[in-house]
Amino acid sequence: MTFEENPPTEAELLQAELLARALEDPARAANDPTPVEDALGAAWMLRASRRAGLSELRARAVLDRAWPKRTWPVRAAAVALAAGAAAVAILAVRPRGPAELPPPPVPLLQAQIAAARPAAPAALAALEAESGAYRAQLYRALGRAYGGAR
Amino acid sequence: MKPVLVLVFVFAGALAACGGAAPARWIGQAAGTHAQADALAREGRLQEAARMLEEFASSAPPAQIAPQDRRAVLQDAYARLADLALRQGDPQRALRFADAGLSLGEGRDVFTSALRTFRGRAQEALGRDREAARDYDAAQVLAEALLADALADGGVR
Repeated sequence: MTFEENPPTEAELLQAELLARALEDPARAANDPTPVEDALGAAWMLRASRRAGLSELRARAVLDRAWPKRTWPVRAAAVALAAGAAAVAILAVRPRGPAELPPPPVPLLQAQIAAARPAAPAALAALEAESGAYRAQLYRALGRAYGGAR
Repeated sequence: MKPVLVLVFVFAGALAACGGAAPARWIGQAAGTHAQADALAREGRLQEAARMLEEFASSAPPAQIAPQDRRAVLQDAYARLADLALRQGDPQRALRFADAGLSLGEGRDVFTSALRTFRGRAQEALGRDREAARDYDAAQVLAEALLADALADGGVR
């Protein structure tokens, strides 16, 4: 004897009765004092399958989920913008090319040659003066190159 | 737009703004420090002048400064520090500054030549004649080569 051929138990008979009642009159079945959750659930499923239709709102929700809106152009634009921003940031922090420094003036070089000799203290004063003049040119050039012209 | 993207833009903008200003600020700081050191040195306040320059030389330059320019600015500061130390009668200190400057690299330029000159001076004051002669020689070779270039260009420099 198979499972299907067994006579129904009392509990199964009760479930069947509740199900039938729920299908005939759901409002009354909801007020039934006995626990009818299984029967009600089954009844709703049967009713829904019988109707086999969806409200417009539900249909749209199902369609939205099945065919999501095409958001790739927005995403692509956002990614492009982020990449642009990253490129700007990289350009801002990377070292730039060297500034064009002024060539050393002849008097400075002559002063350096004179100072690079033993015991020539007077030459140091001349070197200091010429270095100061060249330094002014140097910082003007660097200021122009780095945007803070002085 | 997602908040993450907004953050990316804000960060990039801030970075660009700071990045653009930092090199100019550093160059301005260098020039200002030298100007103040000039004023102090004229008043005979060599120690204070040296302190200012040393403080600047020990500050980290912005990454956007080209390596050659960074070397020029820092070597100029170290050469001046070595000069000030010599004028204060401290050749050991002068030697240290000259070495610090030369440790940044040597080039065919007046900065290397100046540092070699001051190191030679410091070596001479410390009684190391052979080392002094080597530094003087290197400084002269460089300065003479640069002078030859300058004169070949007409000498109007």
